[in-house]
Amino acid sequence: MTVSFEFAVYHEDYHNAGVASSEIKKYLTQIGLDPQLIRRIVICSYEAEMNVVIHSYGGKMVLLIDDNEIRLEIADKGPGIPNIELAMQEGYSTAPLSARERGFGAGMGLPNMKKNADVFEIASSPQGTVVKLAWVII
Amino acid sequence: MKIKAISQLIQGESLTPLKENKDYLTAFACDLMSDCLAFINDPNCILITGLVNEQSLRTAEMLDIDCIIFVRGKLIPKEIIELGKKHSLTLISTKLTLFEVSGILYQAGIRPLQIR
Ligand SMILES: Nc1ncnc2c1ncn2[C@@H]1O[C@H](COP(=O)(O)OP(=O)(O)OP(=O)(O)O)[C@@H](O)[C@H]1O
Ligand SMILES: [Mg+2]
Repeated sequence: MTVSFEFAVYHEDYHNAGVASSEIKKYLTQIGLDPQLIRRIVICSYEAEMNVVIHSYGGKMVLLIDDNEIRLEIADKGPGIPNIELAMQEGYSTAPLSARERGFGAGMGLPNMKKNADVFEIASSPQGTVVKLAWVII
Repeated sequence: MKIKAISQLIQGESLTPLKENKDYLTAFACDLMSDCLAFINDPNCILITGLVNEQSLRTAEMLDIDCIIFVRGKLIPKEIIELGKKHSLTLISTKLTLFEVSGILYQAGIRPLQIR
């Protein structure tokens, strides 16, 4: 059986930024997933959520859980990432001042997601960016 | 080291109930939340920061950290304290700077994280 949740994420809504990841953490804790695994998942989730808030026109996050896998798909409405290879480099950031004032914009988010997910895929066009993450449940 | 002793050393003001019996051995001082998310590898660590907003609390929540020390005498809005209580975070505020707090805690035996 697959369980799925969907969360809307809005551009520059710093007040609610993190609420989706907080809900995800709450749910994964409830179903008794290993805390170490939960930590890796929600680190990615929060980084991805912040990226949508900071860099995109808004989007959504979908969490899918089945017996042996957790998947998280984050899709936004653009403007996309012109150079993904560059964006994946630690320290590369185009974050505006509003994000830096809130502790983001170190250029660490995407590389950290790649590090903490078992599967990391990213695709981007001017219509939007899609990040697909997955973890195996052991 | 117990949180009460830590708080006293840095002239801290507790904004939420302290977890009296919990021992802290390490701390990480940083205003950059994505660095915290990338480097903090010990949930039993104290986050020392000058960043007072939802993002610092959310970052702690995601990392399973339960204690934040806010430095430089920043005004802490009520909503932040409420959010902290909701997630059972220990929030402490001090007028000292990040450098002073770090120095005092280091001298008292709190250790840095091993990040490499
Ligand atoms: N969803 C997105 N839409 C458009 N651009 C993005 C998106 N996500 C990332 N980027 C681009 O990729 C860069 C690197 O992203 P990354 O998450 O690694 O760092 P950051 O968000 O700038 O800083 P940090 O994550 O450390 O707070 C961003 O600065 C931005 O230019
Ligand atoms: Mg980011």
